[in-house]
Amino acid sequence: MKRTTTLIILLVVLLALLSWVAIQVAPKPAPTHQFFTENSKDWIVPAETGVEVSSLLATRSETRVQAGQQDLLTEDGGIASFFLSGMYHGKRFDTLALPSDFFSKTKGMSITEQHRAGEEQAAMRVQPHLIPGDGVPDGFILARKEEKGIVFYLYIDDDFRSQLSAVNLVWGDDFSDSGTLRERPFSFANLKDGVYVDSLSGASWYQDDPIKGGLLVGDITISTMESFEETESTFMMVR
Amino acid sequence: MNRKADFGFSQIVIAVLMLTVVITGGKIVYDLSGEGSQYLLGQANIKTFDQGIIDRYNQTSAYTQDATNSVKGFIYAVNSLAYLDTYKDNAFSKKILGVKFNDDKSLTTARKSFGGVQVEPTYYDRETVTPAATASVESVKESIGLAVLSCWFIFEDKGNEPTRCFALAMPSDYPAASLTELDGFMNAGVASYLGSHKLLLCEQFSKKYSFITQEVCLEKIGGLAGDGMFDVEDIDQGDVPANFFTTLAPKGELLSICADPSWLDEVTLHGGAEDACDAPTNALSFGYKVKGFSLPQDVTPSSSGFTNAVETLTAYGDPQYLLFYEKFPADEAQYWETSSYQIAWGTILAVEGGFALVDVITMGMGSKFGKTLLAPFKNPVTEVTGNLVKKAVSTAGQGATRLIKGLFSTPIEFLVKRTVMTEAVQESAEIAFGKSIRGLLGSADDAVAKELAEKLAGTSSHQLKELLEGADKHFVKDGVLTTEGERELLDRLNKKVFITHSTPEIPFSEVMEMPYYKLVYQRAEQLAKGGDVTEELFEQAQREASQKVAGQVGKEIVNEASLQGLRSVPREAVRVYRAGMRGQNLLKEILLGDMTEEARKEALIKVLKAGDADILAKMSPLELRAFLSNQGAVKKMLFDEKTGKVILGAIGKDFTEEAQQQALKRLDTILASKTIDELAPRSGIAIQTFLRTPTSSIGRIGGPLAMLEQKRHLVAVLAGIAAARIESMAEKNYPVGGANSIGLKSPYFHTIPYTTLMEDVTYPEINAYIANSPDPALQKKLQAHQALVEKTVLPNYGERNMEGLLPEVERYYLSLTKDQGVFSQDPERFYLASPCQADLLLEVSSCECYYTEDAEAGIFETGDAPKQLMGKDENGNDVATGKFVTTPHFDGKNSMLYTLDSNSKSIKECHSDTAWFHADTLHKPLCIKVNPIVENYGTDNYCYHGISDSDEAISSAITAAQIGLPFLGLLCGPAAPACIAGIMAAVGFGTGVVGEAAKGAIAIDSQWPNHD
Repeated sequence: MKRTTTLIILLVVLLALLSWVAIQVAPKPAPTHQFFTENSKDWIVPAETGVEVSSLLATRSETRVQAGQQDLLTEDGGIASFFLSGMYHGKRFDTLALPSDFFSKTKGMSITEQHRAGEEQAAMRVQPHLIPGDGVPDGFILARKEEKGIVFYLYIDDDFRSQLSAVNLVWGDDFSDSGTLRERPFSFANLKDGVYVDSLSGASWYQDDPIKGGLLVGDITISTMESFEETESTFMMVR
Repeated sequence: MNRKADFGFSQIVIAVLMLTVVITGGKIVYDLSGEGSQYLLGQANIKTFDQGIIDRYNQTSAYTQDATNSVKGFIYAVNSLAYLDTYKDNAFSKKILGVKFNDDKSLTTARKSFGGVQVEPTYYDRETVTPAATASVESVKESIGLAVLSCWFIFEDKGNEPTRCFALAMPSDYPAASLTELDGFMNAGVASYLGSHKLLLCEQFSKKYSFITQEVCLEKIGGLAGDGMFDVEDIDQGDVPANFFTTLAPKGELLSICADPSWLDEVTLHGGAEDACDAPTNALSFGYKVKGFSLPQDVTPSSSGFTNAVETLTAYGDPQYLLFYEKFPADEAQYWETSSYQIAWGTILAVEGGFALVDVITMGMGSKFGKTLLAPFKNPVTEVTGNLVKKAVSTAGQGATRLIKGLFSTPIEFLVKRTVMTEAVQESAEIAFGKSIRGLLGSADDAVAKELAEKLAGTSSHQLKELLEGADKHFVKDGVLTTEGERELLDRLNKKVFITHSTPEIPFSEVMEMPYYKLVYQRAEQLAKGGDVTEELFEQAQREASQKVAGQVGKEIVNEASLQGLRSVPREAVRVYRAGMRGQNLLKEILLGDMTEEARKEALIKVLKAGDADILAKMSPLELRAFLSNQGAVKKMLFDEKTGKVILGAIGKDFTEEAQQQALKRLDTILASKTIDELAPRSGIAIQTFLRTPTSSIGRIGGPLAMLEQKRHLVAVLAGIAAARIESMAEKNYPVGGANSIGLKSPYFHTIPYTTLMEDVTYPEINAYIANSPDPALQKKLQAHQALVEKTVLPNYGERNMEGLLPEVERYYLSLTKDQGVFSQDPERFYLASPCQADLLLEVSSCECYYTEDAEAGIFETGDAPKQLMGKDENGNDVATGKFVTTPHFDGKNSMLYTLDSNSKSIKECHSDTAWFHADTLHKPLCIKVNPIVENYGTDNYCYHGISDSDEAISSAITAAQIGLPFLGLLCGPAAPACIAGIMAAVGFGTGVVGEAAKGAIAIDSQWPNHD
């Protein structure tokens, strides 16, 4: 009887041990793409107002987007940064094209309130938060690490499309040398919730140090840049 | 009658003078015998003084302690962050980063305190969920449920990698009753909530993530809630205290939601432990938080009599404490000047007067009046008269240089405002401006004047300012542009070349051309070698220096006055006067020269023995600062290590051999004690206790005292203190002392520099060592570095190790994130000003730094070391090479820009982009970004100058009025009677004055050094 009990206990212990070992040595599951989807339209998620381009979903949480800057984790553990800005009818801005008296008129507000007011009063916005249909052009450029290098995903809302006479992409290694620049029209084939998505791969300007080129998206062409007429243009830019 | 009147007037003058002398003398005697002097001379015990003095002393001591602790905490955070980011994968970093932060024991060590300042790691690779204060309890529960569910998806997608997913931050004003309800929810178990709200949550989840179906969601949530095998829940919330929401959440503690690869694969929740998730860190994830950082300053009416920062600024000058990286940012300095809060009436009247005169001349050119007026210029017989007229024009603008610069910098700013002017007016403006230039410059060449005007009209005022830096040196003779100057100017404009504003006032290469400096360096070199210098050589140096300095005086006054808008002429005069003393002061050069410590001591003693103990009185603020802060040995000679008393009085004429030996022994003891940062504030406290209060007159009499040629140590010390006070009031823009340095500046204190801890070890050397390929000769140094790092970065170290920055910090530019950071912000050099209470968040990132490639030498693109900027002259002395150095950064990427500071030491630079992005090149150097979360907005808590903004519409309207009328007069000028031109010029003058004054008022209003 005692022997049987001892045997059972031993078996139980052995089983437990084996189970534990099995769990420990079990092959680690391969990464999947159920949540971190590969479809650039899926990265557009609803927000309180409008939509948000989720860098979490797009980059498997290996990025940080804040105030016109995207920091991306590189293969060697370093940081690759991309800086966003815009030009609204010849007037440069960073994330929001604000009226000149904006800050004096919003004195006393908290940062959150001020940012909300800024979003409401801006003539154009370049940020992950897009509000289609409100009459204000919204755009965002997301850099994503892929096998073929950095791919830029370009998001613009329907206001951006309707208010600009044309939407082109101009990119290249040196803005001061039009021979290095290329251009093509924005593709409006992908649409979700009032936001169009296009992408650009194969650019190399971001690999230079220092950087002399970049990517422009908006009412601009190489010829307008050659004649310095972009001072009247509206576009967003990443460098 | 007349005799009587003359006699009476003279008597009055004499009487007033005598009275002044008597009062001043009385003041001097009173103050020199006062408690402050007694204490400074070591003749009194602070505890025996009035209670008011004791209170001030105690308060100042407490403030200084707070500031020092804050800076130490900040230095610790910077060092730790730089080190851990640089060597993410080495064993030492892993030892620190691998600490299980949810272990109570390690938590106590990971958080380091410096007095009331707490430094701890913080994380950025998670999303923070912040419900609104008005959010319902149900919506908060939903947020937690959705975050847990998302974390589970993330965990699986990452192949079961441990992951830091979310942090819930409750608003501080969230209702207490609701918090109690949330504690109940948490204690009942999140798994239970997920189980009972599956459908609701999955509906929400699928609405947000439309690519995940409700079926998939329900399956996942079921597993989490315990629907799977053995009904085991996959959520562990054992770390969340039972009363987390009611006790910890209101204090800002977070609820962390992590994925943890334990054997049951769980989502774990932690309450209150900032660094709870046991997940790997990376460059994007890791940062530091300095909690309770404080640079105190009392600006309350009760103690200072002043109610706001501007009044305090006007009364005291610089803030009580300034903490800055390498140098105080020049663009920011203007907001901390008292002159920024006054309308410069003198400048306005002078400039507008000058323009009115120019307008009259140019407007009437086509008229009889104009021809009459201009006749003297064209008639050789009346050349003298013409010159007088020209001189009058110059005088009206407070000197030719001022007027020329004024013409270029002020009206062009308006001319280029195309938004408020029609094309026709603009064209007229260009023509008119061409005429103005021609008239002013005495040039008969229409083509040149027109070309110049066209170029100028298309160039920004900022560029013009840059362009014309040094115009008086190279292009102007007797108040007019030379032909060569015109051509040079046009060439520069065509090439769009402009000199960076960060170019030193006097280029180092130019300085080196001065024989005096060469001699001084030779002397220093000889002293270093133990040799001697003849008296003749010394006198020759003095003579030549005096000539050079005299030549500089006029230029500097004009330059600085024009740059400062004439408002600070008195201050500049003081500065230049002191600079003029340079010729008689060899000591500075001896102290600043590259020589051994032993030779330096010897040189100092020689000077002191010679009885030249009033050297301090003759020092310029810059020299004094250098004297006090750059030379550890000298600093320690001035102040007693233990008591903070001034000890300079102990050495001088009666400096016997025995006394010398004692002093040297004392110096050695002080040097060995390594208490620099303890010593300096203490002496500062003593000085400040007696001089800080505006009712004290010691500071005010310091100026006159400094003028006295007395060989008394007391006078020397007080004069030095007075000079320090003047420096504190007016000068803050002196660099700390080269790259990779942080300085803490305070009135009456010298700048406390925190420079590279081991200057003889470079980062590439360290890197080579870490890569296991060390040069054997370096091993000893590198081992010492490792020991330093272990003392500096490990949580358990001595506070005294926070005396400087690790060499690894050199990889980064320290930047400041301001309020506008939320909207994106141009790069700002890091600085903080008192009063400042904030939690500082530090993170590693890249900065957006631009420069125009064809900019003249002055900004250097370099990597390896600032040393690369320097070369050797024929005497083997260091000189700036003036060449671009385009070697890649030492880590092969992230190139950095350098420039030379006013001490000819290289420092890092980061500039914002220009309007012409075609020409800009972008550097993305690594940065440590410091984001102060400032407490209590609007309650005398500034930290930095905030949003500066003025209403452009109003400014434009004023501008239009300001220039519109004169141009209208201009257009009418040739056709109208002469008097019309004159009237219009007068109207232009009036509107100009009113407009400038209004703009000044707007500018003042927008320069409030606060942020809302």
